[in-house]
Formats: sequence, structure tokens, C-alpha cells
Amino acid sequence: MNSKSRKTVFRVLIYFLALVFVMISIFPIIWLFFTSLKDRVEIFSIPPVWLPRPKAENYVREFSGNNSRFPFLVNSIQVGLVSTLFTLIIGTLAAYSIARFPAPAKKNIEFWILSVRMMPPVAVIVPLYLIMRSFRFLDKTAGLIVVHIAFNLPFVIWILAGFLRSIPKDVEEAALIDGCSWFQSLWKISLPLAAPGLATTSIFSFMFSWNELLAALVLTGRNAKTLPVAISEYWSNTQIRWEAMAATSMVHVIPIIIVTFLIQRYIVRGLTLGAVKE
Amino acid sequence: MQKSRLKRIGLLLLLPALVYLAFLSVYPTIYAVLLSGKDVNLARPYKALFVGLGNFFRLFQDDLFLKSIYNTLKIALVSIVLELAVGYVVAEIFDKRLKGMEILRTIYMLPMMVTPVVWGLVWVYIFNPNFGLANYLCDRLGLGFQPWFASADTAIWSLILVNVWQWAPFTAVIFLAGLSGIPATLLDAAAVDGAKWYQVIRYVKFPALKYVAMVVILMRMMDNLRLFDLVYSTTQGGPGSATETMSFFIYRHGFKFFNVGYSSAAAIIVLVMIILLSQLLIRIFYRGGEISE
Amino acid sequence: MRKLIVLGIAVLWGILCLGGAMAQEKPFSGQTLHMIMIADPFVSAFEKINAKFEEITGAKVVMDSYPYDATHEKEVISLAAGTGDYDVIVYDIPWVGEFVEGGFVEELEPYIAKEDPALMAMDDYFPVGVEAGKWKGKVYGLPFGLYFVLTHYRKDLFDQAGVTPPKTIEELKDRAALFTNNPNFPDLYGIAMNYKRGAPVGQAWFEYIWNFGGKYFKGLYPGSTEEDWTPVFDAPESIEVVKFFQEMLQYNPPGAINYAWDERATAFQQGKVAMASTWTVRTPMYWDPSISKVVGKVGTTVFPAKEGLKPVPPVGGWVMGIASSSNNKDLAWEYIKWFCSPAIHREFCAAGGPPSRISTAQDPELTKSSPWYSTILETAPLTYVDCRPRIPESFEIIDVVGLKVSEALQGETSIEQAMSDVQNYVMTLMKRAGYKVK
Repeated sequence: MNSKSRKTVFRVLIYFLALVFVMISIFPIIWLFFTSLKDRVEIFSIPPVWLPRPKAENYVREFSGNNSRFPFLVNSIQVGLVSTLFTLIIGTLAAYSIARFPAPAKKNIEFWILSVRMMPPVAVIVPLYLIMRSFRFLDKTAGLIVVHIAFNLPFVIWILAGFLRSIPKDVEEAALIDGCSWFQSLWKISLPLAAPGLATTSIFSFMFSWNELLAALVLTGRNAKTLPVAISEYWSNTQIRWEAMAATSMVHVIPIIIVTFLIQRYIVRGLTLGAVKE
Repeated sequence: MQKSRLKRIGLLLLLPALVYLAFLSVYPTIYAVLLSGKDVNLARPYKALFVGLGNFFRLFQDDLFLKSIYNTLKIALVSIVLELAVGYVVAEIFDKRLKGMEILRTIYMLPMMVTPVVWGLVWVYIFNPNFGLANYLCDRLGLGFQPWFASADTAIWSLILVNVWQWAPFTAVIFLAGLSGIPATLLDAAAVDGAKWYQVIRYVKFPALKYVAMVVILMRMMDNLRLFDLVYSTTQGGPGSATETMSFFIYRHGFKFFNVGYSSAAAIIVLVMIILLSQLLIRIFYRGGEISE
Repeated sequence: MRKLIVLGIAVLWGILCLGGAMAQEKPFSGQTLHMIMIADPFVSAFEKINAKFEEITGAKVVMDSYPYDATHEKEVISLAAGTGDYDVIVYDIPWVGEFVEGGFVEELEPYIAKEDPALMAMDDYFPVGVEAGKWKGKVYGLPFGLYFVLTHYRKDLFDQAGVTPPKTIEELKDRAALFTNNPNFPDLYGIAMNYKRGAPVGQAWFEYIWNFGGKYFKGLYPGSTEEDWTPVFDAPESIEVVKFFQEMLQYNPPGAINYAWDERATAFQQGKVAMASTWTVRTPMYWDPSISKVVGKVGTTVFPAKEGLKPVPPVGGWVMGIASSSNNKDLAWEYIKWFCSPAIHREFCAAGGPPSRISTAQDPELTKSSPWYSTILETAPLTYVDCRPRIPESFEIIDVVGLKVSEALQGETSIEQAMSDVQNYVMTLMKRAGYKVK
């Protein structure tokens, strides 16, 4: 009896602690959401307005009319999808090569690819700006896509190589014996088996591009601006339009929340893949 | 198939990625190295001067640059320690695998999935001395008026707080996976041996998590050394130079003054620091053994 | 049959002519003009007036406005990229040298020469404004948004305390001390000033240095003919300005250490302080009953200098130019000449813009609703165009001053050390850039 009630107390304690941490994590998101529903007066009032009267005017104002942020949303989607697609294609080929083919100095190449990730983006952004300028790729979504692919490739190759390596070779070898070319083996056997890995990397790839600020800040202007840049433009030395910032931010954040819930298992798998030896 | 043919195909598959990275990662890096040897302004490129190592000498005498190194290391070290501590505690909590924990765990992960720009602005609002939530709560709890981002003393700690808040979930998720990888038999054996919970942690869990912790430290170290987005959307290096990080210093010289040569030189130094530090960390954790990352 | 065809062609031709004539009414219809500018309070005035331009020309005007540092960054990046993103560039006076030397903006004299002098009315601008938009003798920007710093004070409180508005720095200190922590004036502080790191406090230093009898380059002062670019940031006067800032901090509201242009103006407008020396672009805010708590209680006076010195009130503001990389230069010029014309400028000021033309500042109707215009007329002749540097390096110089002064005021370093650091930094900068220094 005694130990049973102790177990219950313990469980309650665990739930309570979990809730505390979860509340700490989530309250800024909730606060952001409610801020996006406030008007100017409610923003500045003390004590703070916890539950403002729901109104959509901030969203409407920021996403329509002459100064609409809507094109930037479209840019973000476009850059995210296209860069993810190409990162996957190039990355899968490279990962497959690393995982399955005897290539010279493989270990070094792998490490070198990973070390590219160490480069602080601020360091290469000026050369990239100058390169993009000479190719007339500035302020075009294509330019930003090209750069995002470069930033994403190392990580994607690293993760995919891990996934592909973990697939037992026998299935592939059986296919090869049966007369498949390496390409057919890749396309019909390995890729489907590595589907979770592909899902994980495409999600990470898209999220990186969706969230990326610095390259977008420098390489885009009026036309190709993405949402993070638009959000950063709310920051100012003077009165920040909190309610407008909140509305635009929510539009940026809601897809992330939805995606996180849908594929959280893949996220966890992806993060832990390199970290934990299965 | 013959080995040589396989080799060729393998290389062919690898080629697009290698070429791509060569043009868009290696070439810009080399370009940055070349830029670092010049004194050149983006707005007046015709006045460029070759100065060799001049920029580097100036950097080491530049108070603000040295301060930025100090600030960045301070933020990185404190953040990592806190992230490890909080991450571990949270991992233990979620490791109990009670019902409904998975949803909670997912919610807990949300901060790290959102772009830091949004968090910067949200926390600036929360930390606003006059109408922010934080001071309202502090006032009610009797803690009084805190300057948060507005004072040189507290700004860097407020920044660290936001940083840890955002990234502790990352550590937690990885630790959680690590904990779940500990064979149940090991834990049972410890229980049978009469080990107390803190002994279990010290002698069973910590050793098991050592590799995982190293990876976390490595990754967070690299990320913290490059910290930019958060600083850009909160303090912009101020007040004074209290939150000037290395990345922000590079950005200031590159995009406020457009001294791209000087800025590139600082960037090269940061890159070298990151490489050296990660090598050092790897060596500390792996005295000798080979790592497959 | 032939006759029908000829008739048909004639009718068609007639319709086209008519259509052409109708289209000619709106010469630029279908085109878009892109402007980039600072997000100062006059943005709303711009929006009202731009609608008129659209009606007249048929061209759409799209404005991108940003905070101070971001405006500089985005303008330089865009103009250096040469992508033709923007047609009309609104840029700050200290950036003139940088933009001209970088080839970012067009010389305007050829355009001005083609126009009716009465429309351009170059003599009608405050002379210092035209000078400000010039570099090496040529015009690169029209001064549509010339600002002056006026010392604003609460007439009602001054009357109550029985004191006169400050005419000298010493009097400014006295008044500030009087109104701070005074039981007769609860919840009030003496003054609100700029203290935030970077351009806010950096520019403030340049605003005050002349009024302390100092300067920043040895050979650069009103009426100078010598070419001596030696910086003097560690001169006694230079240090005195920072000490003054430190002393005045106690008369500022709490949190002033982070005040920039908007916060100090808001403090005055909300009745928190008795004085504020702010740019004329924000003065209309104090007279706006929908946001100001001090309507009808504000007086203005000329910016004070130290006892015995003639005041050199700060002059600043924004000029409008054509981007060299623009693809719509003609449309851009149409806009600029129209916007800066006396009639439209008057409308701009009526909607809250800062008067940059003498005729506008003397306009009887506007003067009635904007009594501070008389102080502007008093102030303008006393100003000095290079009170803040306009050389290409000025953005960096101002930012460094802003950084070091901010560090000194935060207590991270001593004032003497801070100004000595500034001196070394700027000296190295000037030498590297090839200026004549001793």
C-alpha cells in the first residue's frame, strides 16, 4: 500500500515538473499569439492584457494592401521548397556514394563536408554577395535558393549517409545479383527503405531555409525578401509595432508548429541519429 | 562489377555535391581569405589597398573585437553548461515515459524549431522595462524593476537566458534518446546492487551519456560561437558593447561600415577559432580513439 | 470598296489619336516609382502627398521605409549591387560623401538646368540645405527634409517656476536641475536626451561640440580655408561634452541611458520632462492633440551654447536624389522636382513635414498653427553645414563616437580613455583613407 501511494506521488510530481517546463517553453508562443490580437492600446497597458478581444485586423493589415507581407510569405515557401528539392537530389546521390561505394579518401571527404558546417555564415556572406552580384543573382529567389542549398548540403549528406549505411546490404546485393543496375537498386530498394531518413532530412532542410535570416538579409532586396527578413524589419530604435510584428511572426510560426506536431518522431530520429549509437 | 568501375560511379555520384560545395563554400572561403588581406570598402572598391596581415594586427589591437571574443565565449560556455543541466533534468523527467508525455515532449520542443528572429522580438517585448510581462511579474513577486536588455550588466544574462530557453530542448531530446538507449538490464543490475538514485546517475547514466554529451557540446559550441540572429533582433550588441558577439562584430564592419576587408579578417579568425576549439574538444573526449561522427 | 477602307483607316486613326491624347494625360501611367527612405514621423505626410502624384502622373509610388541603421545598410547594399531596385533615394546628410564617392546617386545640375527656375526655386531653400546636398561643389540631393534642433521647453512650467528659457548651456543645466526631484513638480524630470549606443548618442556629441567651442577636425570649422583633417577628439572641449552628457544623465528620466530620438521625444510629449532638444521633424508631434499631453504648453528657443560663445545649432535632415542604377530616372526626376516645388513642399509641411524652404517657414497661415517656425528662421542662419561630418567615412566615425561615449556613460571605461580611443581610431581611419593629417 505504502509503496503504491509513493509511486502515485512520484508520478504526480513528474507530471507537475513536466508541465512546468512545458509551460516555460510554450508561454512565449502563447504570448505572441495573443499579442497578434491586440491593438496599440492593449499592447502598452499595465497590468498586461492577458486575453484581448479577438480581432484579425493586424493580420489583414500586414498581409494586404500596398505594404503587404504576403509576397514575402510566397518567397519563403518558394525558396524553401525548391532548395529542399535540389538539396535532396544532390545530397542523396552524394550520400549514396559515401555509404555504398568505395571512394578514395572517404573519411576525409566526410569530415571535410562536415567542417563546411563550421563556417560562420557571416564569414562567407560578403564573398557570396559579391559572387551573386557578378552573376546578377541578387534580389532573386534563385540566388537565395542556390545559397541555401550550399548551406544545407553538408548536414543532409551527413544524415542521409548515416541512414543509408544502416540499411542492411543484403537486400541491395540480392537485387544486384538479380540483374538490377546500381541505379535501379538505389531507386527501387534503398530509397524506399531510407524513406524515413529522406523525410527527416527534407524537413530539416525546409526548416533551415524557412528560418534562415542572414543570407536572406544580405542577398535579397525588395523582390525576393523572405519572411524572417520582413520580421526583422519590425525591430527599430523607435516604437516597434508589436502587434504587426506578432501577426507576421505568427504566420511564420504556425506552419512550424503544425509540422513539428506531425513529424515530431522524425525530428527526434534525425537529431539523435548522429548523436546516439543505435 | 569491377572495383574500378564502382569507384568511378561512386565518384560520379559524389561529383555534383563536391562541385557545388567547391563553388559555393570553398571558393567563398578562399575569397574571404583574399579579402582579409585588403583594406577595401564596398562603397568605394576602387580605393582598395593590399595590406597583407595589416587587418589582423589591427584586429588584435581592437578593443571591441577582443571584447566580442570574450562576450562570445562567455555566452557559449554559460549557455552550454545551463543547457546540459536543464536538458538532463528534462530528459530524466520525460524518460519516465508516463502517459501523454509524448505530446508534452513535442510542445517542449517548439522553441528550437522557430527562427531566433521571432524569439528575439518576443523577448524584447517581454523584457521591456515599462510594459513588459517580465517586469510586471517581477513587480508582483516583489523582485522589483529589472533592466533586462537595457543595462550593460544584465543584458548579457538576459541574452543567455533566451538562448538557453530556446536550445535546452535540443539537449533534452538528445539526452532522452541516450537515456532510452541504456539497456534495462544495466539499470536492473544496479537496483539489485542496492544503488541509490544519485549513484545510478553517476556510475551508470553519466558514462553512458558521455558520447552523446560530447556531440551536444560540440554542436552547441559551434552554434553559440556563431550566434547572430538573436543578438541582431534584441540588443544589436549593446548597451555599450555588453552583448557584442564575434558574428555581430563581423556584421557591423561588413554591413554598417562596409569595410569588407577588415570584416573578412575577423571572420577568418572566428573560423580558425571554431576549428581549433572543435578539434580540442574532440581530442579531450577521445584521447586517441577514432571517431566516426 | 476602297472608300470604305480609307474611311475605316481614318476612323481607326482618329480613335487612336483620341486614345493617345487621353493616355497622354497620364504620362507615366502603368509605371511604378520605388522610393527608399527613413521611417521618420513624416512618412504619413508622404503617403498623403504621394497619392496626389499618382493622380497626376498615373505612376504608382511605392515607399520602403526603415529605421536609421537599416536605411543606411539597405541603401548601400542595394546601390552597390546596382540592381535598380530603387529610383528615388532619401539619404541622410552625413552620408552624402559616401554616396557620391560610391557613384550611387546622379548629379542633379543637368536636370535642374532644364527646369523652370521658379519651379526649382533653389534660392528659396535655406542656404545650408542646398550646401548639405552638395559634394565638391555639385548638387546631388535636394533638401526636402531639412531638420534643425530646437530646444523645446514647457512654457507653463517655466512660468510657474518663474524662470526664462535657457540661453546658454549653463542655464540649460540649471533649468534641468530645477525641475528634477522638485516637490513643486512631481513626476517630472529636467530633460530628455539621446544616450543610446551608436548613431543616437554619437550624433548628439557632434551636435554639442560646436557649442562647447570645439570641433572634430582641426581644419574644419565655419569659414575655414585650411585643409587639415587631423582629428581632435581628445581635445579638452571634446571631453567636456561627454562629461556634460554624464552630468545631465541625473536630470533625465530613468531608462534614459537607452533613449534614442523617438524615446526622448515621447518623454517630452508625454509630459515627463520639462525640456527636450529635438529635431524639427518631431516638433509637430507635440502639437498633435491625439497623441500629445502637452499641447499649447510648448515653447521653443534656439539651441544654447556655452556662456560667451555664439550658438551653432545643429542642422541635419534628409536629401532626395536619383539612384544611378535606376531604370526610371526621368520618372524619378519628375517626382523629385514636383515634391520639392514650393507649392507641394508647403503641403508637405502642412501635413507635418519639416519646413526646408524660407517661404514655407514664413508662410502666415502655417506659422499660425506652427509657432515654432519663428525659431527655425532664427536658427537657420547660425547653422554650419558640416556640424556632423559628411565625408565617406562619417557613418563609421559617428558610430565609433557613439560606441565609446556609450561605453563611458555605462561606466565600462573612463571618459578620457574613451575619447582617447576614439582619437586613435579616427586618426588611423583618416590616415588609411588618405586624408592630410598632422
